[in-house]
Amino acid sequence: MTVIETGQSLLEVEDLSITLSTPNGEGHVVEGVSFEIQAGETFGLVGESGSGKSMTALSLMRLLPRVARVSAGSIKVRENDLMAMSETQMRRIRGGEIGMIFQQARSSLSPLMRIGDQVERVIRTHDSAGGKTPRDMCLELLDRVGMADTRRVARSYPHQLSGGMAQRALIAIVLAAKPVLLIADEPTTGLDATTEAEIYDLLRDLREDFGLAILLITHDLALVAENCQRAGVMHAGHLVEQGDVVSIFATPLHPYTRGLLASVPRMDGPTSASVSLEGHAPALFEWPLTGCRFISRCRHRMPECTADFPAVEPKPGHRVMCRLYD
Amino acid sequence: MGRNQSLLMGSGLLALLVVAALIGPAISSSGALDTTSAFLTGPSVSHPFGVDGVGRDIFVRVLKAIRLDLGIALAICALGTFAGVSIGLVAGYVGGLFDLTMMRLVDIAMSVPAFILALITALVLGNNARTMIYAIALAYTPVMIRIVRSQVVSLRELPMVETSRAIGTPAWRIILWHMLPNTYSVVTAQSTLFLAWAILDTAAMSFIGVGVRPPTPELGAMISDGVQYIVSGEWWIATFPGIFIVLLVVSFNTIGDALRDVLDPTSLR
Repeated sequence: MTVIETGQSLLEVEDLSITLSTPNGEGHVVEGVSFEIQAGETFGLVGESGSGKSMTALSLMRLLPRVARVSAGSIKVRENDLMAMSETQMRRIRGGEIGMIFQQARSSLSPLMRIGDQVERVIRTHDSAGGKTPRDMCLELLDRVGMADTRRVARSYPHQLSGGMAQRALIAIVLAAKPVLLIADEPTTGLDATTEAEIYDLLRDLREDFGLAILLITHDLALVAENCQRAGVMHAGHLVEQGDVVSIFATPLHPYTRGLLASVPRMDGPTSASVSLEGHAPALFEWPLTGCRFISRCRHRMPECTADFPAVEPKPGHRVMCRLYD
Repeated sequence: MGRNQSLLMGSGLLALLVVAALIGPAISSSGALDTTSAFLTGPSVSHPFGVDGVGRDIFVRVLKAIRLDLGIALAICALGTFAGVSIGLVAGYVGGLFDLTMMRLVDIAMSVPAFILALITALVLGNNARTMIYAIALAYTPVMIRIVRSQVVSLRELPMVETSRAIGTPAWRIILWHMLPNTYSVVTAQSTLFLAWAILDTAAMSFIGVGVRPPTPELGAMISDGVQYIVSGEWWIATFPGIFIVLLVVSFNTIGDALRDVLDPTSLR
């Protein structure tokens, strides 16, 4: 695997907007999102369902569903502009530069093919064996993702694996193409807590060993706190706050982030019922067309919140999209 | 009857017919076109199925005809399946205008009964055995297109396709590696039914004088030849070929129905 210097910027997303065409008209599911991910770090993207985090992830692979398209902004992987690439060039990026694992690992595997064959096919497609035979590299990868009996696993079909093993197998398949950035979209949904912890341990090891950058997409704040160095909070298509994890959790700036954190039950906190955010996240087409989209639920709303405004950086490295910090 | 038993019965019957058709003519002393003076005699020890109006042994002719009909049916089945699967895979996976166009053409083709469609096509292409095979295969293709396409449209939405694309697999490989193998069960079942239909349609075409012509032994043509003798009491000339058409069709249908159940993905996993 190409060793990349930690701290080097791998992915730069600037002013990304994604437009969804529906029978009701066009909606901007993602608007003005900018962030970057550096080699060797895990960046968490948190948000409720429908906040646009998965759409953002898919746009990084140019795999958006047909109804959606990137309407503005740029995505650069190691300085290469993805939007300007041909479909053939994109195929090398997919897998070879950016790998992606999904939440339903088992159904992400082909049910009719042995695990070993699936790993080997990726190795052959990307010609990534580097002198070794694909078979050896496949067993090595299965060993690397923590499979005990690699030969037996290589001979298995997906339905013979447990949920955790299926996710490990999927990670092995994705690693077979030697990506530098791994997008993990809720990778442990549906797995039990122990397996979840094991998968995250594995991801951390891979990040440290290969200098892999990870984009973790989740709605679970605890996972972000444990696994990420930096994080972004998405709300209704806006990236409302981003910064290093310590700063976000210690001093959340955006009223939405504060509300989210307040709603997490804490071991050391009061035992009273957890506070939940008032109201619900606005659905697409209920969003205000300009200005802050949290306005209807915000306690600090001001008249100037209804007009568009840029994100500000009240502390170095900690950006927020809120008028409170002008 | 359990589906495994019916699968066994169907294949057993078919195996028997195939073996008879393969070795029967080889060990028989007379050929399909050889004539004897004993014309229009009923079943006897020397001529188990009797002798027809020009003195040919019907037993030998039936065995030869089974061989020919099986060959024609296999060719029709292979052509129809190949064309249907190819178009269905692409239409289902690619979607869009190609899919829309193909499916409307399929709708048009399927609005005409397959036999009529095949008959007209065969007559337009020129009336011989080869064009009859193309014509029948063409008439079956829309059925396979529709079946494969509907399977692929649902397969396309599986997470494994997105995963596959996310590791940089080109579309043609996704089609060949992931779409095609997952259509095996429906394709196998349908192509077995194609064999049954092909036996019937080939016989029916030859009966009305399209496709295989006398004196070549073909089950439908033999029935056609024997029809005129039924009223005068020489029943064996048309009856024995008819029985074997029934046996062939029954064996294929039994296998096809049983396969459809056995290969049902939901019962596999």
